[in-house]
Order: sequence, then C-alpha cells, then structure tokens
Amino acid sequence: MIEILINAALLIILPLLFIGLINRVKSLWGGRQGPSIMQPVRDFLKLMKKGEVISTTSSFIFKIAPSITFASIILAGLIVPMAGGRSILSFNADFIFFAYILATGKFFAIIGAMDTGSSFEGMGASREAVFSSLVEPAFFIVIASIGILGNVSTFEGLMRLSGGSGELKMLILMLGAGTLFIMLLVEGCRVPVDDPNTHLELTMIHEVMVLDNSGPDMGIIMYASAMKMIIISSIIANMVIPESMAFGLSLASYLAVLLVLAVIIGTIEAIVARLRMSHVPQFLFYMTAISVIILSIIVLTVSGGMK
Amino acid sequence: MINFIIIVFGLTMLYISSTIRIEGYIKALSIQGFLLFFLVLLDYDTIILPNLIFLSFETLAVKAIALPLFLIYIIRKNGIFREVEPSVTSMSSLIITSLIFAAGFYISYWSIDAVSNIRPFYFGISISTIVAGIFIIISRKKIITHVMGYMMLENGNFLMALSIVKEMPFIVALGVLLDIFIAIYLLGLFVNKVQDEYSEIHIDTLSKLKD
Repeated sequence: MIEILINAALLIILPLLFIGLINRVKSLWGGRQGPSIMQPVRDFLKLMKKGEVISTTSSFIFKIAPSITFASIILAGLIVPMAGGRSILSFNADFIFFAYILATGKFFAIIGAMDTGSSFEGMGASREAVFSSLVEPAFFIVIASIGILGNVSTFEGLMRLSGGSGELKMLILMLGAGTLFIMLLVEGCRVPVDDPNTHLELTMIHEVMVLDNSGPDMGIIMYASAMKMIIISSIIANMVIPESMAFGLSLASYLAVLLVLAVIIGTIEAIVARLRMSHVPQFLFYMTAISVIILSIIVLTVSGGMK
Repeated sequence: MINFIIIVFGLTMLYISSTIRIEGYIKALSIQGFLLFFLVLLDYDTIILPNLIFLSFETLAVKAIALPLFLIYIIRKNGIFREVEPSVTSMSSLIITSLIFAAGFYISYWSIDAVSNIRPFYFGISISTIVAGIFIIISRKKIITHVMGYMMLENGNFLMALSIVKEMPFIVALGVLLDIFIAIYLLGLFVNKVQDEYSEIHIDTLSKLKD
C-alpha cells in the first residue's frame, strides 16, 4: 500500500522537476548557469492563476481537448510500473490499454489543434499523427516480444521478467531500452525530433499544436507532456533495474536512472541539432528496424536457435 | 558477448543503409573491421595459431585501419562527401534493409533444423549483410560507394564463414584480401587519374566512355 502511495506521489511530483533538470543540464552545457530546477513548477503555477483567451472560431472540442489529453495521460501513468516495479493499477493485457489510452489523448490533442482553424496548427497535428503512427508498431513489437519470452501479459509482469540476468536477456533489454529511448524523444517532443524552444511555426511539431491555448489549459498541456516523459522513462528504468531489490534501494535506483536519462536528454539537446523534418520518419523507423532484430532474437531463443 | 558484437554489426548495416555521408560509410566499415577482429579473438580456441595471426592481421590492420584510412584519404583529396542523388531515398533504403534483415532471420530460423553445425543468429546476420551489401551496390551511384558495398559483402562472407566452420580457409581469406586490394587499387587509380576527364565520380558518366 505504502509503495503505491509513494508511486502516486512520484507521478505527481516528478514530471515538472524532470523538465527543469533537462533545461538545467542544457544550460550548463551552454556555459550558462540556467534557470532553477523549480522553474517549470513556477511556470505551471503562474499559468494556473491566469485567465484564458478562447478564439471565437473554435468549438467546445477546443475547450475539452486539453483536459481529456491530461486525463488519458494520468490513466496511462497509473498502469505503468514505477519505483519498485509496482504499478498502481494492473490487469490482464494492460499494455494494450496503455498504448491506446495514450493514442486517445493524442487524438484529442490533434482534433483540438485542428478545431482552431489555424493552418499552422493543422500542419503540426498532421506531423504529430504521422510520427505517432510510426512509433506505435515498434512499441508493440518490443513489448509483445518481451511478453512472448516470459509468457506474461501485464505490464508489471513484463518488467519483473526484465529484471533478470543472462546475456540474452540483457541484449534484449538493451535494445528495448534503446528503442524506448527514441520513443521518449518523440513523445516528449525533444531534440532531434522536435525542438521545444523553437519559435518558427514551420519547424514545430508539438508546440505549434498548442499555439492557441493559454492560461490553465496551457498549464495542464505542459504538465501532461512532462508526465508522458516520466511514464516512458519509468518503462526504461524498470527495464534496467534488477527486480530482486528491497523497495528503498529500488526507489533510489529508479530515481538515479531518471536522473541519468534527464542528463542524457539534456546533453543530446545541447550538442545535437534538430533533424530536418524529412529525416525524422527515417530516424523513427530505426525503432521498427531494431524491434525486428529483437523479435528475431526472441523467436530464435524460443525455438532453441541461440547457441 | 558474441551475440552483442553481432547485433552491433547488424546495427552498423542499418546505419549504412540510411546515411548519405561517405565518411559515415567509412566509419561504419572501420567499426565492422574491429567487430570482426573481436569475433575472431573470441573464437581463438578453435582456430590454429598461424591462421589466427593472419585473421587478426586481416581484420584489424587491413579492414579496420588501413582501408578506411586510405578511403578517407581518397574522399578528402577529391572532395567527395556525400551520395548526391541515390536512386533510392534513404527512408526506403532503411525499410528495404529491415526487410532484408527479416528475411535473413527467417532463413536462420529455417536453418535451425535443417543444418546441424551452424550458429543460426550469426548466419542470419551474415546472410542479411551480404544481401544488404549487394543492395547498396545496386542503389548507390558513386563508384566509391560501390567499392564500399563490395567490402560490406566481403565482411558478410567473413561472418558467414565464422558462423559455419568457425574459420575461413586460409587460401580463401587470401583471395578475398587480394580482391579487395585490387578493387581499392583500381578505385585509387580511377579517382586520381581519370578524374581529370570527369569532374564527378559517378557511374552515369561511364556510359559515355569511348576509345
């Protein structure tokens, strides 16, 4: 019980700190002191206090879309195993629910953006749809392959299995973590897929979809996208943390993995340029290519071919 | 450890299939050379000593260091930095290479029951590397990329020999080395001498050659 409470608290507290940490790492690379780690929290509180401007061309969809997106991401967060490999909710085949509840949130974000009638936002929505559809098959191949290996069907079960040792398992988990890291960059809208700080509408993906949002809606959109990064980082963290650990130790290593991920993302953002828009699908296709390798390793293992 | 090296080898092939920078090709080739060297070392107990020395020399000195350095010298001297107009876009090239890998793994899956003295995972990656090397030769237009595609094909051959008999017969290895040497030599000759006539090192210009 206490583990679940801690996980729920982490799910609420960590997202904005994670973003703050990434920004801090990025500014350190640039030789600046940079904003405090708490800055996103302050931005969020500031936005929550503000009023909201809603365009007269938009309908009720524009008003409900951010809330639905936020709700769907919280639901996804409840299913994902966090510290100690424990998730708050767990049921059979919940990873399919996870993928589709995220997709539902994205669907509402997309139609919310199209509802404003702005051509820029429509363009961003179209890009978001294309990139998400490239990510999804790879995610399913990775998760399903790990499921085949251990004959389990819940997220918790998958992550427990992944804690084991053995060279093959390590290989699969390393490749899986690499694949999910690309997914983290896509879903979190980070460099090299998307640049969260860009100011040119033509090159934005996620930022351009929320140009019309302001006030509390903008605040929860910001919070939701940060939470999405925490969710995917949690999957990666549970892949690399061994399962047989006391909860305290496991919690500490979970936070350490998250810290390392934030440093890696910040570093990538500081030293790599954003990819040209036409090269992004190719980058995302690496996920599918790697997951084909994972799948074949698992098929060969199950049929006794790996010697 | 062996499986890890082989997977990295496969990943270099995926990288090669999607990049358009010639230096990227050369770096990936050099990495492949090092990986083959480590594979040879890891199999040291089954290989006789003179052969082991020769194979180490071939992979480390020739494939991983000498040839990449020479290729870099050629491209820097001639200012060839990227594949300007590949006949297949890099996205489709990546998709096709993934399909080649899937097919290679299918063959290795089939080989589990059909052949006894084989290491299926090795075999799948090596078949895929050979086919992907041929695909690179077909789809790229610069002569220098053709030679590099040929070198990848040879790396795949090498890997396949390791997967079946755990070593390549000495004379075959020598022959392959000679082939690569001739290819590189001709490439150098072509790039350095014929270059005066044709500013672009491009296979399309070869169709206009006459006495």
